[in-house]
Amino acid sequence: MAAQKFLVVDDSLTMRRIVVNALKSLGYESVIEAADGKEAVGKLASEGADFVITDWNMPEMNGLDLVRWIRGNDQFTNLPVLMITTRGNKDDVIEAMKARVNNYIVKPFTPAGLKEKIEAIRKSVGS
Amino acid sequence: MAESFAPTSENKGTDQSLISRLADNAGVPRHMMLKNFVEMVRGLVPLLESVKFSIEESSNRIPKASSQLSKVSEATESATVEILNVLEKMSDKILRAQGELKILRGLIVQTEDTEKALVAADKWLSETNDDSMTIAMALQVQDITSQQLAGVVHIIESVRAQLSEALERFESGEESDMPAARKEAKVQKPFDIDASFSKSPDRQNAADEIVDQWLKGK
Repeated sequence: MAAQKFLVVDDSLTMRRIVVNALKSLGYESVIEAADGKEAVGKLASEGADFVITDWNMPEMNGLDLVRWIRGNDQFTNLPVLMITTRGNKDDVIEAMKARVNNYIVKPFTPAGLKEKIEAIRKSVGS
Repeated sequence: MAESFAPTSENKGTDQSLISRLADNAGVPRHMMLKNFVEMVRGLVPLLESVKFSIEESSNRIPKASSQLSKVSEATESATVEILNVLEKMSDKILRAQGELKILRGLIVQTEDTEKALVAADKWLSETNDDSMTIAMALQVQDITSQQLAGVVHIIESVRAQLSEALERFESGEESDMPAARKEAKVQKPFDIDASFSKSPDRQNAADEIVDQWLKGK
């Protein structure tokens, strides 16, 4: 498995820990965290990442605005982004796809579901 | 001599003419109508005072209710993180135990029974690790319920803001001059009031369908 550095973004400490643990159980050891979109922007700039997993509802800068920022930034525009959120309405999913997230998970998620989405995204971006 | 009770330039719009018209309609003397009217207004005052008092009491209790709900979220997050800490330690120990089993396999005399025992021990350790992951995943309930609570707090704070505005109007008798910021509910943590903890795959399947259609349409 190619080494991938994940950036996990969620204002819930509980969720960040769960996602990080799930990633480690799938063999992804290199993980950094951010508590909101604004912090995520800072981490991307200072530490970089190969894959972003983000929540939607967050203070300072929500997940959707973070994705828009990523897509609007030449350095990160092709960064794979997986959204993991409680928002499961059709309109929400469409809005996220319009913002160009690569895929979408509705909480609560499972490690198997996470693995499936990560592999699907990696396949689609050719990494 | 019959008097005219239609509004005139002298009495137009005055209470006197209104009382006169009301009295005539009710068939009672004007002074009785006026007396009844004044008594009615006097009776309303204590009622309005009582309503104002109730609003004040309710409004005063709301911050405590909001605070209690927020504390519930904080407490459950704290407890959840503690559980996750223990689960992570368990997982580390299980991995180390499995490592030791591998070493043991190389050190002991291999018999059918020892092999069977080692395989069984490794299997139980793996299953225990899987179980601890299941517990960890179930703890997502904390994030979801804290969003639901944040939604409730938002509703409570909105009610408080409206009650505050109503109280202002009671006291001033005018449209509230309260700054808009004070009228608004306090900003809470972002939340999804529709968040739900359901093990059914339906919501994910529905999202997958939308994503697949979107990606195919690209």
